[in-house]
Amino acid sequence: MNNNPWWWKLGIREKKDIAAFLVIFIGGIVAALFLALFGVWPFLLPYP
Amino acid sequence: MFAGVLVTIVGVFWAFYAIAGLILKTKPLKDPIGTKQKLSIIFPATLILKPKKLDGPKIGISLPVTFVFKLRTPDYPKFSILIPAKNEEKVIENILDDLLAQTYKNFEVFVICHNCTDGTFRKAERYAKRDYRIRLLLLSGQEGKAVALNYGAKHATGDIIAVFDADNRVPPSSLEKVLKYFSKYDAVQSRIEASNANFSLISKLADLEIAVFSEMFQKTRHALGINVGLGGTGEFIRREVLEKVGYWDNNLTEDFALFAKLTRHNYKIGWAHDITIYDEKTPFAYSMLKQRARWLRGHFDVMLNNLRYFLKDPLNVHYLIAPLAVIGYYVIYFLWVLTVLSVPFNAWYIPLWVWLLPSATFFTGIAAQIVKARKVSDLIYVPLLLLYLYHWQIAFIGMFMIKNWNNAKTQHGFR
Repeated sequence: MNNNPWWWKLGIREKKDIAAFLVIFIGGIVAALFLALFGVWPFLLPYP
Repeated sequence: MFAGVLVTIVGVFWAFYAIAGLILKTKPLKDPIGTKQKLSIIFPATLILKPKKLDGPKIGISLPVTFVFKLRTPDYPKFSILIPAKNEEKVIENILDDLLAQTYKNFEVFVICHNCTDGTFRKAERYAKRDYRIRLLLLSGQEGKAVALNYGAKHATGDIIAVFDADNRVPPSSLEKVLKYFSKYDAVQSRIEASNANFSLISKLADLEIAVFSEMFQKTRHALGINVGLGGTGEFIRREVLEKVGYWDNNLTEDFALFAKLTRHNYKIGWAHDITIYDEKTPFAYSMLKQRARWLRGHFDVMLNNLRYFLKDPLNVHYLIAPLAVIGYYVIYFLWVLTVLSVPFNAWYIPLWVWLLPSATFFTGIAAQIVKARKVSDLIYVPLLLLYLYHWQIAFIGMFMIKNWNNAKTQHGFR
């Protein structure tokens, strides 16, 4: 296990793992921001 | 408005499980085997069974031992352990070593070499020659774990069928500990931990995910007297019950299909919190996504096949957490956009704390359960875990895109 390249530690072995990794984590950040922004900004409006 | 109500319902649901998982305690069941009786099972068996040579005669050992068991252990059920194995030469020896080291000796093991093209059969054969309780079955043709399990179950002679994956590690007291549950339950699911949590970030997060799932959902369901989910490995079922429900369906998630059948027939499935089976998690991002897409597709298939039953009782919604949570997220995204677009024209108001409190409880619950089930230092993974859980939504898209599931089997040997 110690002889494995460092990128295996991230869960990346092949090229398609890079794509999957980015989709999961970058996508997760985008989704979180989306929910936060769209979910919270209406509260900033002067309602009710 | 709709989005707000939906988020609140989902949030309260999650929060309920988060708190219940922390507070509720599972009732310990009494071990039915006394020390004296234990000796009567273990002692003669270990004396006779301990192999001296690798290539000992099989029949010469098996007959007297079977006779001893019949005389001395009439009330102690026999386990038939099924290990479906497709190209598992890297890991098969470990689990066979673990099974031979079990403190409860009344069992038989079937290694089902299913469409194997590597050395799995050769390696398992060495063990079969050493111990008559290990048997090898060769199977080729139709793919699917259920096909292999059904083939193994046909040959089984035991009272309880146990299912393990070839990559599993099984602690020595597992079979002995599980016996007590069968006084109350028809099937039992044991706890699962990753055997390779430190291999990669993905396997680490998968381990924390299953820790939270076990602590929050499985334990809570068990404590509330609701059937727990079967996990496809570390599961034990009475053979007669399995026969009555018609064995496994060749579904992508044969475990969830069996769970649905058992539940429909009012059989009870318990949770063995004191038995931990170590399972190798897929450590690479793409294969993990593909595996999750397969799980989700299987869950949806089973859900649709059993929809009438699941909708009969509102409590059954507990059984559909995975599919509903994923659909729920997409509905939330959609409604959120609709709501935001409608805000300038349509006054709506839900206090911010109603939105935030369930979410905060859920996140705190996740953190608390990680500390409880694993260790405090794992808390640093919580932010990553929350991002990682987003992969279910990608897997949801993936389940429509993957057309051929024949090559969806997860590779093992990364530890």
